[in-house]
Amino acid sequence: MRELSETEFKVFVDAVRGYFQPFGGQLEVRAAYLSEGTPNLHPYIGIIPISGAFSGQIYLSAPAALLRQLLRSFNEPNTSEDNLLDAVGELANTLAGSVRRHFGPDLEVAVPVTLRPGDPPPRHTRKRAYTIAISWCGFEGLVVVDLAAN
Amino acid sequence: MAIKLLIVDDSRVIRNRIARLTLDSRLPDLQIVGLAGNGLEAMELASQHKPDLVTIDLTMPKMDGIECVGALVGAFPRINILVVSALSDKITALTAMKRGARGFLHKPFSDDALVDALLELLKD
Repeated sequence: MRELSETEFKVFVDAVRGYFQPFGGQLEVRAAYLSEGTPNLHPYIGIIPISGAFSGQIYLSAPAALLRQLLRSFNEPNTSEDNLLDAVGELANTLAGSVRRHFGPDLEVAVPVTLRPGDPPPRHTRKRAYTIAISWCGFEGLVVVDLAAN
Repeated sequence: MAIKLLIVDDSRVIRNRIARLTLDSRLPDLQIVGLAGNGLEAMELASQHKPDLVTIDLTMPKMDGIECVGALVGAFPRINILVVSALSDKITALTAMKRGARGFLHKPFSDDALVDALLELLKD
């Protein structure tokens, strides 16, 4: 198993920037770093299990306010908990899918698993994971890349 | 006569977003005949309603979008299918087109990008 390189990690940072671009609003990548253990997470989490040439998971954690803003960008009036969970899963799915432009189809993306407030946090598969801290329209979020090349 | 549209995506939020965007005045009259959350539901709804046009995601539970595209085209050879997916590698797009999809739109998409993709598909 090989750790992701910094160049490969940058693909994820670019994917995060690309995700929010169609919806406008200011996106800031506040920090991108290697973390040990699970970082302090926001209450809604969308996890994409990864297999194939890579193994592990990519997940996104966001507060309700960021997800409500995303739903508003979709002109979605229903900001119920179910829709917040749907949105965080879809966001994680889109981020994971968009990095296949770089990694190709051997990075196999499964359907999202979502965690609601109070659920236990994801268990990391690697000792260290890359973490990207973002702010979009003033709302903070985290993208965690807990992945290794097989 | 309205064009019958089936929307297939495992995200309810995305299904509803696409449904709202089909009301855009640049598009011809589209009648949504079903909203499906996976490929199996899509096949059931397609059998009932025989849609002219389908928007379909690829990463879905039960039956994924690639398999569903093949099944839809097998059952309804004249069906128009637009794949709307986050899977952004060329091989996936080519596989979907080989199975019979006629267009591919990458997520995330803007409102205009979806309307333009539907207009392009409906030209034929």
